[in-house]
Amino acid sequence: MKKLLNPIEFYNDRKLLIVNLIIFVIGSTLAAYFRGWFDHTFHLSFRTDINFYKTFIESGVCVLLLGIFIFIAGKIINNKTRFIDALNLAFYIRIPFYLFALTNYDGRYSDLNSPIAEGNIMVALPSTSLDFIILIITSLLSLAILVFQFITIYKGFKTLSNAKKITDYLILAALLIVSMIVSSILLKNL
Amino acid sequence: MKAKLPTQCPSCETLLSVSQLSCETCQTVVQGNYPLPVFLKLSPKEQEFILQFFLTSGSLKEMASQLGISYPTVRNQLDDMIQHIKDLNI
Repeated sequence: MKKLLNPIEFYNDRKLLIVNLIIFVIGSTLAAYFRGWFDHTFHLSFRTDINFYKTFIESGVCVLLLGIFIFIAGKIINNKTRFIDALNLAFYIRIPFYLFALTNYDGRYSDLNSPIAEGNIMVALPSTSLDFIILIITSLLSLAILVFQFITIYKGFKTLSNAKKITDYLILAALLIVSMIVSSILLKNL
Repeated sequence: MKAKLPTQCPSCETLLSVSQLSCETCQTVVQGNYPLPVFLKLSPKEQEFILQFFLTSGSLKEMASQLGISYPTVRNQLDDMIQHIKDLNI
Protein backbone atom coordinates (compact mmCIF):
# COMPACT_ATOMS: atom_id res chain seq x y z
CA MET A 1 0.00 0.00 0.00
CA LYS A 2 2.89 2.33 0.87
CA LYS A 3 4.39 1.77 -2.58
CA LEU A 4 1.02 2.35 -4.24
CA LEU A 5 0.50 5.68 -2.48
CA ASN A 6 4.04 6.93 -3.00
CA PRO A 7 5.94 5.11 -5.78
CA ILE A 8 8.45 7.98 -6.00
CA GLU A 9 9.82 6.99 -2.60
CA PHE A 10 10.66 3.44 -3.68
CA TYR A 11 11.09 3.02 -7.44
CA ASN A 12 13.88 4.02 -9.78
CA ASP A 13 12.94 7.26 -11.58
CA ARG A 14 13.65 6.04 -15.11
CA LYS A 15 11.79 2.75 -14.69
CA LEU A 16 8.87 4.63 -13.15
CA LEU A 17 8.85 7.08 -16.05
CA ILE A 18 8.69 4.25 -18.60
CA VAL A 19 5.79 2.58 -16.73
CA ASN A 20 4.05 5.96 -16.38
CA LEU A 21 4.46 6.65 -20.11
CA ILE A 22 2.95 3.26 -21.01
CA ILE A 23 0.02 3.87 -18.62
CA PHE A 24 -0.37 7.38 -20.09
CA VAL A 25 -0.69 6.04 -23.64
CA ILE A 26 -3.09 3.24 -22.66
CA GLY A 27 -5.02 5.52 -20.29
CA SER A 28 -5.39 8.37 -22.76
CA THR A 29 -6.55 5.90 -25.42
CA LEU A 30 -9.13 4.52 -22.98
CA ALA A 31 -10.25 8.04 -22.03
CA ALA A 32 -10.70 8.94 -25.71
CA TYR A 33 -12.46 5.63 -26.45
CA PHE A 34 -14.95 6.26 -23.63
CA ARG A 35 -15.48 9.83 -24.91
CA GLY A 36 -13.56 11.57 -22.17
CA TRP A 37 -11.73 14.86 -22.52
CA PHE A 38 -9.60 16.90 -20.18
CA ASP A 39 -10.56 20.55 -19.68
CA HIS A 40 -7.89 21.20 -17.05
CA THR A 41 -5.25 19.36 -15.02
CA PHE A 42 -7.70 17.97 -12.46
CA HIS A 43 -10.85 17.40 -14.46
CA LEU A 44 -12.31 14.83 -16.80
CA SER A 45 -15.50 15.55 -18.76
CA PHE A 46 -17.45 13.52 -21.30
CA ARG A 47 -18.86 14.53 -24.66
CA THR A 48 -20.17 12.82 -27.79
CA ASP A 49 -17.88 14.36 -30.41
CA ILE A 50 -14.44 13.09 -29.46
CA ASN A 51 -11.28 13.45 -31.44
CA PHE A 52 -8.68 10.83 -30.40
CA TYR A 53 -5.79 13.06 -31.38
CA LYS A 54 -7.17 16.04 -29.40
CA THR A 55 -7.77 13.99 -26.24
CA PHE A 56 -4.17 12.77 -26.43
CA ILE A 57 -2.85 16.31 -26.81
CA GLU A 58 -5.08 17.51 -23.94
CA SER A 59 -3.87 14.68 -21.73
CA GLY A 60 -0.24 15.42 -22.63
CA VAL A 61 -0.62 19.16 -22.00
CA CYS A 62 -2.24 18.46 -18.60
CA VAL A 63 0.58 16.12 -17.52
CA LEU A 64 3.29 18.47 -18.75
CA LEU A 65 1.78 21.57 -17.10
CA LEU A 66 1.19 19.69 -13.86
CA GLY A 67 4.78 18.44 -13.92
CA ILE A 68 6.13 21.94 -14.58
CA PHE A 69 4.12 23.53 -11.74
CA ILE A 70 4.97 20.76 -9.26
CA PHE A 71 8.62 21.21 -10.29
CA ILE A 72 8.44 25.01 -9.74
CA ALA A 73 6.88 24.47 -6.27
CA GLY A 74 9.59 21.92 -5.44
CA LYS A 75 12.35 24.18 -6.74
CA ILE A 76 11.12 27.07 -4.54
CA ILE A 77 11.32 24.84 -1.46
CA ASN A 78 14.38 22.77 -2.30
CA ASN A 79 16.86 23.63 -5.03
CA LYS A 80 17.75 19.94 -5.46
CA THR A 81 14.28 19.04 -6.76
CA ARG A 82 14.46 17.21 -10.11
CA PHE A 83 12.07 17.57 -13.03
CA ILE A 84 11.87 13.80 -13.63
CA ASP A 85 10.40 13.26 -10.14
CA ALA A 86 7.87 16.07 -10.61
CA LEU A 87 6.91 14.62 -14.01
CA ASN A 88 6.55 11.14 -12.53
CA LEU A 89 4.21 12.52 -9.86
CA ALA A 90 2.19 14.38 -12.50
CA PHE A 91 1.83 11.20 -14.57
CA TYR A 92 0.93 9.11 -11.53
CA ILE A 93 -1.74 11.32 -9.97
CA ARG A 94 -3.65 11.42 -13.26
CA ILE A 95 -3.98 7.64 -13.56
CA PRO A 96 -7.36 7.55 -11.68
CA PHE A 97 -8.87 9.75 -14.41
CA TYR A 98 -8.21 7.07 -17.01
CA LEU A 99 -9.99 4.53 -14.82
CA PHE A 100 -12.84 6.94 -14.18
CA ALA A 101 -13.36 7.27 -17.94
CA LEU A 102 -14.62 3.65 -17.85
CA THR A 103 -17.77 4.81 -16.03
CA ASN A 104 -18.95 6.25 -19.35
CA TYR A 105 -18.86 2.78 -20.97
CA ASP A 106 -22.44 3.12 -22.25
CA GLY A 107 -22.27 6.83 -23.08
CA ARG A 108 -24.30 7.54 -19.91
CA TYR A 109 -22.64 10.87 -19.17
CA SER A 110 -21.57 12.04 -22.62
CA ASP A 111 -25.15 11.64 -23.93
CA LEU A 112 -26.43 14.00 -21.23
CA ASN A 113 -24.54 17.01 -22.57
CA SER A 114 -26.91 17.88 -25.43
CA PRO A 115 -30.22 17.75 -23.45
CA ILE A 116 -28.65 19.73 -20.58
CA ALA A 117 -27.35 22.33 -23.04
CA GLU A 118 -30.90 22.59 -24.42
CA GLY A 119 -32.21 23.18 -20.89
CA ASN A 120 -33.86 19.75 -20.50
CA ILE A 121 -32.53 19.12 -16.99
CA MET A 122 -34.99 16.27 -16.27
CA VAL A 123 -33.05 13.95 -18.56
CA ALA A 124 -30.03 14.28 -16.28
CA LEU A 125 -31.88 13.16 -13.17
CA PRO A 126 -31.75 9.44 -12.23
CA SER A 127 -35.10 7.77 -12.84
CA THR A 128 -34.63 4.06 -12.08
CA SER A 129 -33.08 2.30 -9.08
CA LEU A 130 -30.23 1.14 -11.33
CA ASP A 131 -29.54 4.78 -12.19
CA PHE A 132 -29.36 5.57 -8.49
CA ILE A 133 -27.00 2.67 -7.78
CA ILE A 134 -24.72 3.73 -10.65
CA LEU A 135 -24.85 7.32 -9.44
CA ILE A 136 -23.87 6.30 -5.89
CA ILE A 137 -21.03 4.07 -7.16
CA THR A 138 -19.76 6.85 -9.42
CA SER A 139 -19.92 9.37 -6.56
CA LEU A 140 -18.03 7.04 -4.22
CA LEU A 141 -15.46 6.39 -6.93
CA SER A 142 -15.00 10.15 -7.42
CA LEU A 143 -14.51 10.58 -3.69
CA ALA A 144 -11.99 7.71 -3.57
CA ILE A 145 -10.08 9.27 -6.49
CA LEU A 146 -10.00 12.61 -4.70
CA VAL A 147 -8.64 11.07 -1.48
CA PHE A 148 -6.11 8.98 -3.43
CA GLN A 149 -4.88 12.04 -5.34
CA PHE A 150 -4.65 14.13 -2.18
CA ILE A 151 -2.56 11.50 -0.34
CA THR A 152 -0.40 10.78 -3.40
CA ILE A 153 0.34 14.47 -4.02
CA TYR A 154 1.15 15.05 -0.34
CA LYS A 155 3.45 12.03 -0.03
CA GLY A 156 4.99 12.36 -3.48
CA PHE A 157 5.75 16.06 -3.04
CA LYS A 158 7.25 15.36 0.38
CA THR A 159 9.62 12.87 -1.20
CA LEU A 160 10.61 14.86 -4.26
CA SER A 161 11.20 18.17 -2.44
CA ASN A 162 11.81 17.08 1.17
CA ALA A 163 8.95 19.39 2.17
CA LYS A 164 8.32 19.62 5.91
CA LYS A 165 6.55 22.88 6.70
CA ILE A 166 2.91 23.84 6.16
CA THR A 167 4.07 26.80 4.04
CA ASP A 168 5.72 24.32 1.64
CA TYR A 169 2.35 22.71 1.00
CA LEU A 170 0.65 26.10 0.68
CA ILE A 171 3.11 26.95 -2.11
CA LEU A 172 2.26 23.63 -3.79
CA ALA A 173 -1.50 24.24 -3.41
CA ALA A 174 -1.17 27.73 -4.91
CA LEU A 175 0.82 26.42 -7.88
CA LEU A 176 -1.63 23.55 -8.45
CA ILE A 177 -4.43 26.12 -8.68
CA VAL A 178 -2.32 28.13 -11.14
CA SER A 179 -1.80 24.93 -13.18
CA MET A 180 -5.58 24.46 -13.37
CA ILE A 181 -6.12 28.04 -14.54
CA VAL A 182 -3.28 27.96 -17.10
CA SER A 183 -4.30 24.56 -18.48
CA SER A 184 -7.94 25.61 -18.66
CA ILE A 185 -7.04 28.73 -20.71
CA LEU A 186 -4.57 26.81 -22.87
CA LEU A 187 -6.91 23.90 -23.61
CA LYS A 188 -9.82 26.20 -24.49
CA ASN A 189 -7.68 27.71 -27.24
CA LEU A 190 -6.35 24.38 -28.49
CA MET B 1 25.48 -9.94 21.61
CA LYS B 2 27.30 -6.78 20.61
CA ALA B 3 26.72 -4.12 23.26
CA LYS B 4 25.34 -0.83 21.98
CA LEU B 5 27.33 2.25 22.96
CA PRO B 6 25.00 4.64 24.78
CA THR B 7 25.46 8.24 23.65
CA GLN B 8 22.62 9.93 25.55
CA CYS B 9 22.06 10.20 29.28
CA PRO B 10 19.15 7.86 30.16
CA SER B 11 18.04 10.36 32.79
CA CYS B 12 18.15 13.79 31.12
CA GLU B 13 18.95 12.81 27.47
CA THR B 14 22.02 15.08 27.29
CA LEU B 15 24.89 13.76 25.13
CA LEU B 16 27.32 11.76 27.24
CA SER B 17 31.09 12.31 27.21
CA VAL B 18 33.95 9.81 27.60
CA SER B 19 35.41 9.84 31.11
CA GLN B 20 37.42 6.63 31.10
CA LEU B 21 39.44 4.62 28.56
CA SER B 22 41.25 1.38 29.38
CA CYS B 23 43.80 -0.89 27.70
CA GLU B 24 42.60 -4.49 27.57
CA THR B 25 46.19 -5.83 27.47
CA CYS B 26 47.95 -4.04 30.33
CA GLN B 27 44.87 -2.71 32.15
CA THR B 28 46.16 0.92 31.97
CA VAL B 29 43.29 3.30 32.64
CA VAL B 30 43.09 6.85 31.32
CA GLN B 31 40.66 9.15 33.00
CA GLY B 32 39.51 12.56 31.83
CA ASN B 33 36.64 14.24 30.11
CA TYR B 34 36.56 13.82 26.33
CA PRO B 35 33.64 14.76 24.07
CA LEU B 36 32.22 12.00 21.87
CA PRO B 37 33.45 12.05 18.25
CA VAL B 38 30.86 13.39 15.77
CA PHE B 39 30.24 9.98 14.25
CA LEU B 40 29.26 8.53 17.63
CA LYS B 41 26.84 11.37 18.29
CA LEU B 42 24.73 10.16 15.39
CA SER B 43 22.05 7.47 15.67
CA PRO B 44 22.95 3.89 14.62
CA LYS B 45 20.78 4.36 11.52
CA GLU B 46 22.70 7.49 10.56
CA GLN B 47 26.03 5.78 11.20
CA GLU B 48 24.95 2.92 8.93
CA PHE B 49 23.97 5.47 6.27
CA ILE B 50 27.40 7.12 6.38
CA LEU B 51 29.09 3.74 6.12
CA GLN B 52 26.98 2.81 3.09
CA PHE B 53 27.67 6.23 1.55
CA PHE B 54 31.40 5.64 1.99
CA LEU B 55 31.26 2.08 0.61
CA THR B 56 29.43 3.24 -2.53
CA SER B 57 32.03 5.98 -3.12
CA GLY B 58 29.44 8.63 -2.38
CA SER B 59 27.10 7.55 -5.17
CA LEU B 60 23.54 8.19 -4.02
CA LYS B 61 22.18 6.39 -7.09
CA GLU B 62 24.10 3.23 -6.22
CA MET B 63 23.01 3.52 -2.60
CA ALA B 64 19.39 3.86 -3.67
CA SER B 65 19.65 0.76 -5.83
CA GLN B 66 21.34 -1.22 -3.01
CA LEU B 67 18.79 -0.13 -0.41
CA GLY B 68 15.83 -0.69 -2.74
CA ILE B 69 14.57 2.88 -2.45
CA SER B 70 14.55 5.83 -4.84
CA TYR B 71 17.20 8.50 -5.40
CA PRO B 72 15.16 11.40 -3.88
CA THR B 73 14.53 9.33 -0.74
CA VAL B 74 18.28 8.76 -0.24
CA ARG B 75 19.02 12.42 -1.03
CA ASN B 76 16.43 13.52 1.57
CA GLN B 77 18.01 11.25 4.18
CA LEU B 78 21.40 12.78 3.40
CA ASP B 79 20.01 16.35 3.58
CA ASP B 80 18.33 15.58 6.92
CA MET B 81 21.60 14.16 8.26
CA ILE B 82 23.57 17.21 7.11
CA GLN B 83 21.04 19.40 8.93
CA HIS B 84 21.28 17.19 12.03
CA ILE B 85 25.09 17.45 12.07
CA LYS B 86 24.88 21.23 11.62
CA ASP B 87 22.43 21.36 14.55
CA LEU B 88 24.95 19.54 16.73
CA ASN B 89 27.06 22.74 16.46
CA ILE B 90 30.24 21.09 15.28
